[in-house]
Amino acid sequence: MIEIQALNGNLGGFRLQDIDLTVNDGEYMVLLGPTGAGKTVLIEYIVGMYKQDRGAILIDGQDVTPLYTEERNIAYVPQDYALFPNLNVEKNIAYGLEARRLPKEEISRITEETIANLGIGYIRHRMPLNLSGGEKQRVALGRALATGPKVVLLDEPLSALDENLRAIMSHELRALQRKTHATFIHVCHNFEEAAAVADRIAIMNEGRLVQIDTLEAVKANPQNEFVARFLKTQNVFEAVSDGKTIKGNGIVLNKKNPLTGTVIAGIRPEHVRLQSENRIGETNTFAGHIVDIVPKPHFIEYRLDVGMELTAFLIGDVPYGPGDAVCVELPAEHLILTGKN
Amino acid sequence: MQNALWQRGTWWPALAIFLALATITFYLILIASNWIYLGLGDTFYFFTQPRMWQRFWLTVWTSTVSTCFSLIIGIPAGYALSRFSFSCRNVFASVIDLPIVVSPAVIGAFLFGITTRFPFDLISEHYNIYIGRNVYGVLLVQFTVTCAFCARLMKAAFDSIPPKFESVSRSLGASNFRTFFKVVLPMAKNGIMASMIVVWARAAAEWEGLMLFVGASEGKTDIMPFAIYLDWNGGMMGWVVSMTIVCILMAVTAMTAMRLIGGKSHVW
Repeated sequence: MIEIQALNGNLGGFRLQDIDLTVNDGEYMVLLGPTGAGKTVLIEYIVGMYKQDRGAILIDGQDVTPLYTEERNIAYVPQDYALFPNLNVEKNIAYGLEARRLPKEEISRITEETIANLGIGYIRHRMPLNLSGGEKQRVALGRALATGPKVVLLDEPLSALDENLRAIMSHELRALQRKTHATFIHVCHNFEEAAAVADRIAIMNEGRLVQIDTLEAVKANPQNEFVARFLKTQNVFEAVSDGKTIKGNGIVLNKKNPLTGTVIAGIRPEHVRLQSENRIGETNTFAGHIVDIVPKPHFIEYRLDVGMELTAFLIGDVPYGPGDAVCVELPAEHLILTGKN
Repeated sequence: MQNALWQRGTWWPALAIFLALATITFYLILIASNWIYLGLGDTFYFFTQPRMWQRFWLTVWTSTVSTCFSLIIGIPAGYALSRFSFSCRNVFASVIDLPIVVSPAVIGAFLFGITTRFPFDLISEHYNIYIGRNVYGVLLVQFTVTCAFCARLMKAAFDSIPPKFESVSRSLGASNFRTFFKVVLPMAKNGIMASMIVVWARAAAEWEGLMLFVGASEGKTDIMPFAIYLDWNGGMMGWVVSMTIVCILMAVTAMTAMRLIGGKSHVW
């Protein structure tokens, strides 16, 4: 288990502020946030590249902040993997074992096991320069896992891969983590990537952790407007709540809620429903028309106008075209309400 | 047509290439004129004289030894300047730049001053080691002039290696020291080799510092550039021209080797 307690650091003007994060044994945690949020800096503090101003990092209860990087038993995989270009695949994997001065037989056994587990026997004698993106990632993971680290830190490990390979490798990453039961902390700025691998996500912005929870929980209850927008809630608008109704952008929504005053309301596009016109007047249904239709690989995106602009994602054929009048339902159970930032 | 050429902007690459070729031609004429002046017969005569080859080998081995000493200091110093932040780092960097920006003649005068004063005079007297008008003096001047230069070049070589490789190595359990020898040094190999050749060439070209600190001693301190100066003063133009040809051949060989090796690095 890794515990980060009230970590504060200042790095060339960028401040990491009051970071509190606990990652359980065998958990896959994703640090998610926009570029410049401080995700990589946090990883670098955990690695031990910089000394923090305040706070502590504990691994299995031991404070590792006074320890050098090589003493922390943390494996670090940077963005482009940093495979040592002067060593072939086999020697890259054995590097950490040799650094720990294990017996030769032990090094050989673990290296063979790692190569077999990752299915990279066919490239064992190749130099990193001659590897594809996916192969590099497997080798970097093998090198990181061979030493049996307590925590594996992955800094945007899929960003250098194309979309198809990213999907394949994210499944491989998840499978590998489950197989090894290692604790993974994975940095990314891509919501889909996080969804594919994470047990829990920690959302960062401007050097702070904003929300930590399971993906479903964060999607259902984003802590603030930033989280809602970052998780692509899209249909986000400012409104006024009296505890029963939410008024804003010319529409009135009914939903009992504990908030009063100015709130941020939103609904995910996949929860917006299109109904036949005769349902206008029912709760949370509004007359509108279709502005545009954009086909996507797995759904169709409808841009709607109900007095405010809305986006809906629908699966399968819907018998409407651009300009058609429709009835738009925003189900109360899917409405997201949060206070202003 | 002329207007179209002007508008397409091809005049600029044409002018730049012309100026580059003109400069190269100028230097080639200079070199060729030396050879023409000497003639084939004299070339053969001077190139077969033991005096020529004694001076050549003295230049080669003194430059090689001083380069080795410069590397011993320059590699760690360059690494420190590239990677570590420490108090007075800028002052340290400025001091190490001094031998680069100050004339080698000043370094020669400085060495003369320091080796004849306390405590160095007592040390040399006690151990009966005289550093001055002998080959040790040549080595000391070459080392002093090239060491800082070497550290600067090594810094550039190490700067081209992203620090994340070291972070990864250390996260895998390797110490700073092991990381340096197993990761950084092999990765900086091309840059170091290219820099080493430049340092060697700089040592082989040194003479101003030698003139002040070492002085002329036939067969002992007369490395090529210094010998050219001495023979010029003696009016021995045949020796002067033949040695300039050797110096040019040495420089061309060194720079070609540097480009072949260093072409793969980010330093050159």
